[in-house]
Amino acid sequence: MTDTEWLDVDTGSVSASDIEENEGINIRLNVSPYDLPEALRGLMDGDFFCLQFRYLNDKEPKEKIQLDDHITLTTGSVTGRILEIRINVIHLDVDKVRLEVCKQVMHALDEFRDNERFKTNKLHAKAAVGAVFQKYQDLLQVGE
Amino acid sequence: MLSVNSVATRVDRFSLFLISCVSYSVTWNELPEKSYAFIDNVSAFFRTHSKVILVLCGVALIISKIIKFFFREKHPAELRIDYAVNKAIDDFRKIVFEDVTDQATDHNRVTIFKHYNRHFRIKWREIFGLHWPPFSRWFFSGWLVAIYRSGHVTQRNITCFLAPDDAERTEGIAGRAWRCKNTYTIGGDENNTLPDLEEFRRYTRISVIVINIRRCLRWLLRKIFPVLCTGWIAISDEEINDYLAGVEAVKKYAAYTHAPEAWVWSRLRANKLLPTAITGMILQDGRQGAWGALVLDSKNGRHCIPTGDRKFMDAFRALNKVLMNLEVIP
Repeated sequence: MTDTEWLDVDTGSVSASDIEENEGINIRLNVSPYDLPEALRGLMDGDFFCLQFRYLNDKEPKEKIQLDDHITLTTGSVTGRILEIRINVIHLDVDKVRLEVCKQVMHALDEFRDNERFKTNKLHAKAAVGAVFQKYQDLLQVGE
Repeated sequence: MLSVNSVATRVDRFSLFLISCVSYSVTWNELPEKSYAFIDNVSAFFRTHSKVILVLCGVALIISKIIKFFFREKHPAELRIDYAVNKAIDDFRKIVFEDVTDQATDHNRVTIFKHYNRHFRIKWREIFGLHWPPFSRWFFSGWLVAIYRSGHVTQRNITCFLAPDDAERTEGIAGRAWRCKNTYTIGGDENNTLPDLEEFRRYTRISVIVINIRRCLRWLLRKIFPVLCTGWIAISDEEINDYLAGVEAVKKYAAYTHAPEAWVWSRLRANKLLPTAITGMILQDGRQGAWGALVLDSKNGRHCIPTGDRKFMDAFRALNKVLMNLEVIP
């Protein structure tokens, strides 16, 4: 596995929030600091592109879920946070690897947010998507 | 000077000593061939009064245990942990309430609540089922109990919030944060603030009864003897409206903060602080999951910095590290 540096995320701008109304007063719901990705990194591990997320309290048991033939998601078994997206790049079109990886990452994140089998917090999923959007330029430099 | 706890410890030890004397004296005659007059007399005394001594010692043991439970003194190691955690919370408070110029430490507080499945507390209203819904707050309900608070004041009798498995019944912003796992913020904006109840502190239990009696009298007299409806009895519309505004404000405050109305009134009457901006967030551990809640409240309507802010995250990481390292969570 190639060791790459963690890219710090500007958590203030990816912090997802929601408004809940309670008898005429607005209550602001923000993603918990535990669920905000602090840093991201993309790295190549053999035939796989790995996108890893770092959080507060990251020492938790992991759970691997095979999304399809080429994508594996690793989530925290206690918190349900997304920890890693692992994409097999061997089958991808050589000329469009970056674009394909980008598509696969977004597909994985969409599945993570919308699929019922991931018991995730919606605000956490939004924050994770925001963090990837913020750093996608740097993440795609991997392997160059 | 001896503390209550050390007196209880001595009573405890002395009772155990007496019980062992009684048990030894019962077998004394069977053991030695030689006879020792003094010891014989003492053992005879213990044998004769064994029942009384055992009963008294039993009662003394139970009482001393109860006293030791309520007046428990902390071990030096626990005191060192407390010092470290309090320092970490104070540092955290300074960072998250950065623009606060108010020097009163009780106006912007940080409190750590820990979740217990059962918690021993006595509240007569709850014991007699007068709390609504009845019999809903019991020792085994599941509670969020305050374990640490920033500053050196408002440290006693901190409210415990109900946080049962049946999550609909969670109370307070701490309870809501525990329930939803997100950061829960209420009040603090100009158009979105919790009612300030300071001016309604004057409504004591007795004054509320008097106002209601006067309202009834006014209604009756207006119907029957309009001429008599003057003086003290004739409560003015202004007074009634003030009182009703107070009732309405308390009702709103209770609804917004998910707290029982009676609890808000009791805090008002006890001259306790009622914050106007509150942020609650869950505390969790990577292995065990959620273990408590962190509440940041403010009396001067100032919010803490946004919880997603890098500065907040760094301060929170430092606090979290202290809590994890010192094993505040058992």
